[in-house]
Amino acid sequence: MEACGQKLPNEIWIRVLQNLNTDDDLSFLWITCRQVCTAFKDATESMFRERLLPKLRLNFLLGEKTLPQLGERFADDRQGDFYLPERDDRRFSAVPLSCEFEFNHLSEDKKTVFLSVDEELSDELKPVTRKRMREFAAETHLEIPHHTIQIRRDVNDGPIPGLSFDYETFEVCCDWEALFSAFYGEEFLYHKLLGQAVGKRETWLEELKAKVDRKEMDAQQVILKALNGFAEDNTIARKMARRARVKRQMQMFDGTEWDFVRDGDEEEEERILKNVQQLRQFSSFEEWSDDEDDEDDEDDEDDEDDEDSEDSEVSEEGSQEWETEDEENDEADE
Amino acid sequence: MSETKIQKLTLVANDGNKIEVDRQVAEKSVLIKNMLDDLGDEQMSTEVPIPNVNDTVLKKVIEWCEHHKNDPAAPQDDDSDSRKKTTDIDEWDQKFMQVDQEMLFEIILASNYLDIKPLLDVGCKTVANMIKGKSPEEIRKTFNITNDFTPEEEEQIRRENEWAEDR
Repeated sequence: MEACGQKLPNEIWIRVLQNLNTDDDLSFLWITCRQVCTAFKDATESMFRERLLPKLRLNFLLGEKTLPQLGERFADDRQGDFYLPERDDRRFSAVPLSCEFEFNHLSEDKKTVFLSVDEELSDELKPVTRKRMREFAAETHLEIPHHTIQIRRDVNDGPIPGLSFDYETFEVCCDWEALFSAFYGEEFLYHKLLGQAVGKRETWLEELKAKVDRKEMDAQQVILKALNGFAEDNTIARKMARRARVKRQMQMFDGTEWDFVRDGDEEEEERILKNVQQLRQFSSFEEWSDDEDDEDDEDDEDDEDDEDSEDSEVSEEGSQEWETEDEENDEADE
Repeated sequence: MSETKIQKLTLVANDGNKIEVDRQVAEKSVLIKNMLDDLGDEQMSTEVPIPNVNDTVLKKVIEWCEHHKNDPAAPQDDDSDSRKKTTDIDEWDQKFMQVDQEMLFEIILASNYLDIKPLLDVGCKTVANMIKGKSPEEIRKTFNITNDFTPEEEEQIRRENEWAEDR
């Protein structure tokens, strides 16, 4: 790594950047710190590659799968083998079909990430999943994507640059750095817009406080009002960041000047934002082996015995065990 | 081997100034502790030169070591320190680090040289907190960092991120 700081050596700068590791710091690291100098860029990319890339998941929403009804032959492209439901239950006549991919390995040049299905697909589901994945790859969904991306606890439905499917092995690959740039670009913008909105609320909060002092409102009402206000800011910031990202995607795709007011679909947008927010909530409950409380420090094992026994460290090449509640995500997909 | 351990050490800064410190304080430095362990007390009864650190900085480092002399030993594995939160600086340390940038960097370099990991961590966290919220140009300017990207690289990374920044 070339020296860039005249005062501190690169090894110290790397230590400094390693401290910017809370969930809120990640977009700042990726978007801002990578632009400072080559040492910052290399250090940031190395940290993200080792710590966050193994926590990358892609979830493809492949529509619904219709289950065969009573007496109906199983209509997939297998021969001979068929399935007959034991009873006619229309409540389960169609189920959402999704396919989740988790980090598997990196290419030798460390530019391409390969992901594989989180659990072996049943033979029954393979043909239809394969077919839907082919359809997915043939279509372009910029404004209303049929996938979500999760990196640790962050979730969005941004672009997956360089996405390529292997339909036989159920493996996908993509350009992870470009994916992270789009992903954290949207996160960065969201934090920025939220910060601006919160800043604007200061006077409003002062007014609310004054109302409490004048006994025009009680404190509980004020807290509720403030919470609602911040929740609204959060929703708007998410929405605006997403719109900016879709706009950029359109520009990059075919030069289209996408304008939400003219071209957007508010209802669809609301549905997607709600879905992504729900996934974010689920992912916020997940525990990770590298959580900030040093669970897996050997030296802290006295304090953290229970967690340590469950934890597994991310290896050099990124293989790791997920400590997640997959069922929750499956529910979210539905 | 001598039965009684020496209790005081004399550290000599690079400008020749001597500072007498308690052994327990000096041993916050893993470098000095290892030296004591390896060479034995007999060899350490003389002065210990600290060639990379000047008197002012050395006094400041000793001040920190004095305050933290009873803290439990820090983990030695390098991986464990990458997951601490930047906000995780205790109040005394925050005040201790309220120095000009030149001194902050000197403390960081001295703690790195003397191998005082907890002090190095506090220094790095302080700098990390100073970085937060700044633009790339502000970071370069504040910390005197040279932009060593080629114009092409700079243009590429700027174009990649501008949509998220220019708002």
